[in-house]
Amino acid sequence: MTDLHIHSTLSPCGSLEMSPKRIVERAKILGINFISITDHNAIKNSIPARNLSKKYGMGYLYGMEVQTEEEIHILTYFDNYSELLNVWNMVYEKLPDIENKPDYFGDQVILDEEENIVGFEEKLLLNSSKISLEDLCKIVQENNGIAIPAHIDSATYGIISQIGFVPHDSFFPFLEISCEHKEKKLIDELSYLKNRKFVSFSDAHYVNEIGKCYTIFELELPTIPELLMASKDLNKRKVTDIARRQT
Amino acid sequence: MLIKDVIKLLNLKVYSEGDNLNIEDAYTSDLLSIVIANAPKNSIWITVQKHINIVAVASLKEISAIIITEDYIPEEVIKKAKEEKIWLLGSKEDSFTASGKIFKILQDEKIHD
Repeated sequence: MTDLHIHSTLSPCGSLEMSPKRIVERAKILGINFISITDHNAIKNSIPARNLSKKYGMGYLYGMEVQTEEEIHILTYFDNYSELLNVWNMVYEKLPDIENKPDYFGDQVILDEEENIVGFEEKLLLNSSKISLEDLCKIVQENNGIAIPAHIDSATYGIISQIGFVPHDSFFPFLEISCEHKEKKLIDELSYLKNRKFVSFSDAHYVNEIGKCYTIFELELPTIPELLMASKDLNKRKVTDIARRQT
Repeated sequence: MLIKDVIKLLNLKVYSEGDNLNIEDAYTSDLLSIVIANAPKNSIWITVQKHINIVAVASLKEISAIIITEDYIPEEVIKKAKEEKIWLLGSKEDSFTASGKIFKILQDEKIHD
Protein backbone atom coordinates (compact mmCIF):
# COMPACT_ATOMS: atom_id res chain seq x y z
CA MET A 1 0.00 0.00 0.00
CA THR A 2 1.38 3.35 -1.04
CA ASP A 3 0.46 6.83 0.19
CA LEU A 4 2.69 9.49 -1.35
CA HIS A 5 0.71 12.59 -0.42
CA ILE A 6 0.91 13.39 3.30
CA HIS A 7 1.28 16.81 4.94
CA SER A 8 3.28 17.28 8.13
CA THR A 9 3.43 19.99 10.81
CA LEU A 10 5.42 22.09 8.35
CA SER A 11 2.35 22.72 6.19
CA PRO A 12 0.36 25.50 7.87
CA CYS A 13 -2.83 23.55 7.21
CA GLY A 14 -1.32 20.32 8.60
CA SER A 15 -2.29 19.22 12.11
CA LEU A 16 0.30 19.80 14.82
CA GLU A 17 0.08 16.09 15.52
CA MET A 18 1.54 15.34 12.07
CA SER A 19 5.13 14.88 13.18
CA PRO A 20 7.31 12.69 10.98
CA LYS A 21 7.26 10.15 13.85
CA ARG A 22 3.46 10.03 14.15
CA ILE A 23 3.08 9.79 10.39
CA VAL A 24 5.51 6.90 10.03
CA GLU A 25 4.11 5.04 13.05
CA ARG A 26 0.54 5.44 11.87
CA ALA A 27 1.41 4.31 8.34
CA LYS A 28 3.17 1.25 9.77
CA ILE A 29 0.09 0.28 11.80
CA LEU A 30 -2.10 0.60 8.69
CA GLY A 31 0.19 -1.65 6.67
CA ILE A 32 1.32 1.15 4.36
CA ASN A 33 4.84 0.36 3.22
CA PHE A 34 5.69 3.26 0.92
CA ILE A 35 5.17 6.92 1.87
CA SER A 36 6.21 10.48 1.13
CA ILE A 37 5.76 13.72 3.04
CA THR A 38 4.70 16.41 0.59
CA ASP A 39 4.50 19.76 2.34
CA HIS A 40 3.47 22.91 0.48
CA ASN A 41 6.59 24.42 -1.11
CA ALA A 42 8.65 23.00 1.77
CA ILE A 43 10.96 20.08 2.56
CA LYS A 44 12.41 20.54 6.03
CA ASN A 45 10.64 17.60 7.64
CA SER A 46 11.84 15.23 4.90
CA ILE A 47 15.05 13.91 6.39
CA PRO A 48 13.57 12.79 9.73
CA ALA A 49 10.66 11.23 7.85
CA ARG A 50 13.00 9.38 5.54
CA ASN A 51 15.23 8.17 8.43
CA LEU A 52 12.25 6.96 10.44
CA SER A 53 10.74 5.22 7.41
CA LYS A 54 14.00 3.38 6.93
CA LYS A 55 14.01 2.33 10.61
CA TYR A 56 10.50 0.95 10.25
CA GLY A 57 11.37 -0.86 7.03
CA MET A 58 9.22 1.33 4.82
CA GLY A 59 9.92 2.83 1.42
CA TYR A 60 10.24 6.61 1.27
CA LEU A 61 10.44 9.13 -1.58
CA TYR A 62 11.61 12.69 -1.04
CA GLY A 63 8.61 14.83 -1.93
CA MET A 64 7.13 18.31 -2.05
CA GLU A 65 3.79 19.70 -3.19
CA VAL A 66 4.59 22.78 -5.25
CA GLN A 67 2.06 25.51 -5.95
CA THR A 68 2.92 26.95 -9.36
CA GLU A 69 2.16 30.48 -10.53
CA GLU A 70 -1.01 29.13 -12.17
CA GLU A 71 -2.04 28.06 -8.62
CA ILE A 72 -1.80 24.41 -9.58
CA HIS A 73 -0.67 21.89 -6.96
CA ILE A 74 1.97 19.57 -8.38
CA LEU A 75 3.43 16.68 -6.40
CA THR A 76 7.13 16.23 -7.03
CA TYR A 77 9.24 13.21 -6.02
CA PHE A 78 12.93 12.35 -5.97
CA ASP A 79 15.14 9.44 -4.94
CA ASN A 80 17.82 11.71 -3.47
CA TYR A 81 17.67 14.58 -1.02
CA SER A 82 20.15 16.63 -3.08
CA GLU A 83 17.75 16.53 -6.05
CA LEU A 84 14.81 17.61 -3.92
CA LEU A 85 16.94 20.36 -2.42
CA ASN A 86 17.88 21.71 -5.88
CA VAL A 87 14.25 22.00 -6.89
CA TRP A 88 13.13 23.37 -3.53
CA ASN A 89 15.81 26.09 -3.67
CA MET A 90 14.31 27.35 -6.93
CA VAL A 91 10.73 27.08 -5.72
CA TYR A 92 11.47 28.76 -2.39
CA GLU A 93 13.46 31.59 -3.94
CA LYS A 94 10.43 32.45 -6.10
CA LEU A 95 7.98 32.19 -3.22
CA PRO A 96 6.74 35.71 -2.30
CA ASP A 97 8.34 37.12 0.82
CA ILE A 98 5.19 37.21 2.91
CA GLU A 99 5.37 36.34 6.57
CA ASN A 100 3.17 33.53 7.87
CA LYS A 101 0.45 34.55 10.33
CA PRO A 102 0.17 31.41 12.46
CA ASP A 103 -3.11 32.53 14.08
CA TYR A 104 -4.71 32.68 10.68
CA PHE A 105 -2.97 30.04 8.55
CA GLY A 106 -1.48 27.74 11.20
CA ASP A 107 2.05 27.08 12.43
CA GLN A 108 4.80 25.86 10.12
CA VAL A 109 6.84 23.66 12.44
CA ILE A 110 10.11 21.90 11.67
CA LEU A 111 10.68 18.81 13.84
CA ASP A 112 13.36 16.19 14.34
CA GLU A 113 12.92 12.42 14.59
CA GLU A 114 12.03 12.63 18.30
CA GLU A 115 9.41 15.36 17.78
CA ASN A 116 11.62 18.13 19.17
CA ILE A 117 10.96 21.49 17.61
CA VAL A 118 13.94 22.48 15.47
CA GLY A 119 12.46 25.70 14.12
CA PHE A 120 9.61 27.46 12.39
CA GLU A 121 9.32 28.36 8.73
CA GLU A 122 8.69 32.12 8.68
CA LYS A 123 7.64 32.59 5.05
CA LEU A 124 4.02 31.78 4.26
CA LEU A 125 4.12 28.43 2.46
CA LEU A 126 0.49 28.40 1.38
CA ASN A 127 1.17 30.57 -1.63
CA SER A 128 2.17 30.33 -5.29
CA SER A 129 5.81 30.21 -6.22
CA LYS A 130 6.53 32.42 -9.22
CA ILE A 131 7.41 29.36 -11.28
CA SER A 132 5.37 28.21 -14.27
CA LEU A 133 4.05 24.69 -14.63
CA GLU A 134 6.34 24.13 -17.63
CA ASP A 135 9.45 25.40 -15.84
CA LEU A 136 8.69 23.29 -12.79
CA CYS A 137 8.29 20.13 -14.89
CA LYS A 138 11.58 20.93 -16.59
CA ILE A 139 13.61 21.33 -13.41
CA VAL A 140 12.00 18.27 -11.84
CA GLN A 141 13.03 16.19 -14.85
CA GLU A 142 16.52 17.69 -14.85
CA ASN A 143 16.82 16.50 -11.27
CA ASN A 144 15.67 12.96 -12.09
CA GLY A 145 12.33 13.44 -10.39
CA ILE A 146 8.73 12.95 -11.40
CA ALA A 147 5.80 15.35 -11.27
CA ILE A 148 2.21 14.34 -10.61
CA PRO A 149 -0.64 16.87 -10.75
CA ALA A 150 -2.48 16.64 -7.42
CA HIS A 151 -6.25 16.08 -7.01
CA ILE A 152 -6.97 16.87 -10.66
CA ASP A 153 -10.72 16.55 -10.06
CA SER A 154 -10.69 19.21 -7.33
CA ALA A 155 -12.47 22.54 -7.80
CA THR A 156 -9.47 24.34 -6.30
CA TYR A 157 -5.74 24.14 -7.04
CA GLY A 158 -6.20 21.24 -9.48
CA ILE A 159 -4.68 21.36 -12.95
CA ILE A 160 -8.12 21.19 -14.58
CA SER A 161 -9.73 23.88 -12.42
CA GLN A 162 -6.80 26.24 -13.04
CA ILE A 163 -5.85 25.75 -16.68
CA GLY A 164 -8.94 24.02 -18.05
CA PHE A 165 -7.45 20.70 -19.12
CA VAL A 166 -4.34 18.54 -18.82
CA PRO A 167 -1.96 19.60 -21.63
CA HIS A 168 -1.69 16.58 -23.90
CA ASP A 169 2.06 16.85 -24.39
CA SER A 170 2.85 17.15 -20.69
CA PHE A 171 5.19 14.80 -18.94
CA PHE A 172 3.13 13.34 -16.12
CA PRO A 173 3.62 9.61 -15.50
CA PHE A 174 0.53 9.64 -13.28
CA LEU A 175 -2.39 11.91 -12.42
CA GLU A 176 -3.68 11.96 -8.85
CA ILE A 177 -7.40 11.82 -8.23
CA SER A 178 -8.75 12.66 -4.81
CA CYS A 179 -10.17 10.11 -2.41
CA GLU A 180 -13.73 11.19 -3.16
CA HIS A 181 -13.54 10.72 -6.91
CA LYS A 182 -13.78 7.67 -9.14
CA GLU A 183 -11.41 7.07 -12.03
CA LYS A 184 -14.20 5.71 -14.21
CA LYS A 185 -16.44 8.71 -13.60
CA LEU A 186 -13.60 11.08 -14.44
CA ILE A 187 -12.84 9.29 -17.71
CA ASP A 188 -16.54 9.27 -18.58
CA GLU A 189 -16.53 13.04 -18.16
CA LEU A 190 -13.14 13.68 -19.74
CA SER A 191 -12.53 11.00 -22.32
CA TYR A 192 -9.19 12.52 -23.41
CA LEU A 193 -7.76 11.18 -20.13
CA LYS A 194 -8.55 7.56 -20.93
CA ASN A 195 -4.96 6.58 -21.70
CA ARG A 196 -3.56 8.22 -18.57
CA LYS A 197 -2.44 6.34 -15.48
CA PHE A 198 -4.15 7.34 -12.26
CA VAL A 199 -3.08 7.14 -8.66
CA SER A 200 -4.88 8.12 -5.48
CA PHE A 201 -3.23 9.23 -2.25
CA SER A 202 -4.70 10.54 0.99
CA ASP A 203 -3.61 14.22 0.99
CA ALA A 204 -3.72 13.69 4.77
CA HIS A 205 -3.57 16.77 6.99
CA TYR A 206 -4.63 14.85 10.13
CA VAL A 207 -3.39 11.57 11.55
CA ASN A 208 -6.70 9.77 10.99
CA GLU A 209 -6.58 10.68 7.30
CA ILE A 210 -3.32 8.87 6.56
CA GLY A 211 -4.00 6.10 4.06
CA LYS A 212 -7.64 7.23 3.66
CA CYS A 213 -7.08 6.27 0.08
CA TYR A 214 -4.01 4.67 -1.40
CA THR A 215 -2.51 3.04 -4.45
CA ILE A 216 -1.21 -0.48 -4.81
CA PHE A 217 1.80 -0.73 -7.09
CA GLU A 218 3.66 -3.77 -8.36
CA LEU A 219 7.28 -2.66 -7.85
CA GLU A 220 10.62 -4.28 -7.06
CA LEU A 221 11.85 -1.24 -5.12
CA PRO A 222 10.30 2.03 -3.88
CA THR A 223 12.13 4.25 -6.38
CA ILE A 224 11.52 6.70 -9.23
CA PRO A 225 12.76 4.37 -12.01
CA GLU A 226 10.40 1.67 -10.73
CA LEU A 227 7.45 4.08 -10.69
CA LEU A 228 8.31 5.17 -14.22
CA MET A 229 8.23 1.54 -15.32
CA ALA A 230 4.87 1.07 -13.61
CA SER A 231 3.53 4.12 -15.45
CA LYS A 232 4.29 2.34 -18.73
CA ASP A 233 3.41 -1.22 -17.62
CA LEU A 234 6.99 -2.30 -18.25
CA ASN A 235 8.75 -5.38 -16.84
CA LYS A 236 5.72 -6.45 -14.82
CA ARG A 237 5.66 -3.17 -12.91
CA LYS A 238 2.20 -1.70 -12.76
CA VAL A 239 -0.55 0.06 -10.85
CA THR A 240 -2.62 -2.81 -9.47
CA ASP A 241 -5.37 -0.83 -7.80
CA ILE A 242 -6.42 2.46 -6.27
CA ALA A 243 -8.62 2.10 -3.24
CA ARG A 244 -10.28 3.73 -0.27
CA ARG A 245 -9.61 2.43 3.21
CA GLN A 246 -12.59 0.63 4.71
CA THR A 247 -13.23 2.04 8.16
CA MET B 1 -16.65 48.11 -29.81
CA LEU B 2 -13.72 48.26 -32.14
CA ILE B 3 -10.59 46.48 -31.00
CA LYS B 4 -8.46 49.39 -32.20
CA ASP B 5 -10.35 51.73 -29.86
CA VAL B 6 -9.82 49.38 -26.92
CA ILE B 7 -6.11 49.11 -27.69
CA LYS B 8 -5.85 52.88 -27.79
CA LEU B 9 -7.98 53.69 -24.75
CA LEU B 10 -6.30 51.10 -22.53
CA ASN B 11 -2.85 51.70 -23.98
CA LEU B 12 -2.38 48.00 -24.73
CA LYS B 13 0.68 46.38 -26.21
CA VAL B 14 -0.18 44.18 -29.20
CA TYR B 15 1.56 40.79 -29.14
CA SER B 16 -0.65 39.07 -31.71
CA GLU B 17 -3.21 40.40 -34.18
CA GLY B 18 -6.52 38.61 -34.42
CA ASP B 19 -8.96 38.42 -37.30
CA ASN B 20 -11.97 39.91 -35.53
CA LEU B 21 -12.04 43.71 -35.45
CA ASN B 22 -15.41 44.32 -33.80
CA ILE B 23 -16.03 42.86 -30.36
CA GLU B 24 -19.34 42.64 -28.52
CA ASP B 25 -18.67 41.50 -24.97
CA ALA B 26 -16.05 41.03 -22.25
CA TYR B 27 -15.27 38.59 -19.46
CA THR B 28 -12.81 38.52 -16.54
CA SER B 29 -11.57 35.37 -14.78
CA ASP B 30 -8.30 33.54 -14.15
CA LEU B 31 -9.69 30.04 -13.67
CA LEU B 32 -9.84 28.41 -17.06
CA SER B 33 -12.44 25.87 -15.99
CA ILE B 34 -14.78 28.77 -15.21
CA VAL B 35 -13.92 30.54 -18.46
CA ILE B 36 -14.77 27.35 -20.37
CA ALA B 37 -18.10 27.21 -18.56
CA ASN B 38 -19.12 30.86 -18.80
CA ALA B 39 -17.23 33.13 -21.17
CA PRO B 40 -19.34 34.65 -23.97
CA LYS B 41 -18.19 34.35 -27.57
CA ASN B 42 -16.83 37.24 -29.61
CA SER B 43 -15.52 38.76 -26.39
CA ILE B 44 -12.42 40.22 -24.82
CA TRP B 45 -11.13 38.06 -21.97
CA ILE B 46 -9.15 39.77 -19.21
CA THR B 47 -6.85 37.56 -17.15
CA VAL B 48 -3.51 37.21 -15.38
CA GLN B 49 -3.29 33.59 -16.49
CA LYS B 50 -0.58 33.16 -19.12
CA HIS B 51 -0.31 29.40 -19.41
CA ILE B 52 -0.44 28.33 -23.06
CA ASN B 53 -3.83 26.69 -22.49
CA ILE B 54 -5.40 30.18 -22.57
CA VAL B 55 -5.12 30.20 -26.37
CA ALA B 56 -6.84 26.82 -26.69
CA VAL B 57 -9.60 27.97 -24.33
CA ALA B 58 -10.07 31.19 -26.32
CA SER B 59 -10.32 29.17 -29.54
CA LEU B 60 -12.78 26.76 -28.00
CA LYS B 61 -15.02 29.54 -26.69
CA GLU B 62 -14.59 31.74 -29.81
CA ILE B 63 -13.12 34.49 -27.67
CA SER B 64 -11.65 37.13 -29.99
CA ALA B 65 -9.08 38.81 -27.78
CA ILE B 66 -7.13 38.13 -24.60
CA ILE B 67 -5.79 40.94 -22.42
CA ILE B 68 -3.08 39.76 -20.06
CA THR B 69 -2.68 42.10 -17.13
CA GLU B 70 0.87 41.06 -16.31
CA ASP B 71 4.22 42.27 -17.58
CA TYR B 72 5.57 39.13 -19.11
CA ILE B 73 4.01 36.87 -21.75
CA PRO B 74 5.82 33.66 -22.75
CA GLU B 75 6.99 33.47 -26.38
CA GLU B 76 5.15 30.18 -27.04
CA VAL B 77 1.83 31.77 -26.00
CA ILE B 78 2.38 34.61 -28.48
CA LYS B 79 3.22 32.13 -31.25
CA LYS B 80 0.11 30.07 -30.56
CA ALA B 81 -2.14 33.16 -30.47
CA LYS B 82 -0.78 34.23 -33.88
CA GLU B 83 -1.50 30.77 -35.30
CA GLU B 84 -5.05 30.89 -33.97
CA LYS B 85 -5.54 34.51 -35.11
CA ILE B 86 -6.52 35.69 -31.65
CA TRP B 87 -5.68 39.15 -30.38
CA LEU B 88 -3.14 38.89 -27.58
CA LEU B 89 -2.80 42.17 -25.74
CA GLY B 90 -0.73 43.24 -22.76
CA SER B 91 -1.89 45.74 -20.16
CA LYS B 92 0.19 47.48 -17.52
CA GLU B 93 -2.92 47.96 -15.41
CA ASP B 94 -4.54 45.36 -13.17
CA SER B 95 -7.58 43.29 -14.15
CA PHE B 96 -9.96 45.48 -12.13
CA THR B 97 -8.92 48.66 -13.88
CA ALA B 98 -8.81 47.13 -17.36
CA SER B 99 -12.22 45.50 -16.83
CA GLY B 100 -13.68 48.77 -15.53
CA LYS B 101 -12.54 50.69 -18.58
CA ILE B 102 -13.96 48.09 -20.98
CA PHE B 103 -17.20 47.96 -19.00
CA LYS B 104 -17.51 51.71 -19.47
CA ILE B 105 -16.90 51.46 -23.24
CA LEU B 106 -19.62 48.81 -23.51
CA GLN B 107 -22.05 50.86 -21.36
CA ASP B 108 -21.46 54.00 -23.43
CA GLU B 109 -22.15 52.06 -26.62
CA LYS B 110 -25.47 50.82 -25.22
CA ILE B 111 -26.53 54.36 -24.36
CA HIS B 112 -25.73 55.58 -27.88
CA ASP B 113 -27.47 52.67 -29.59
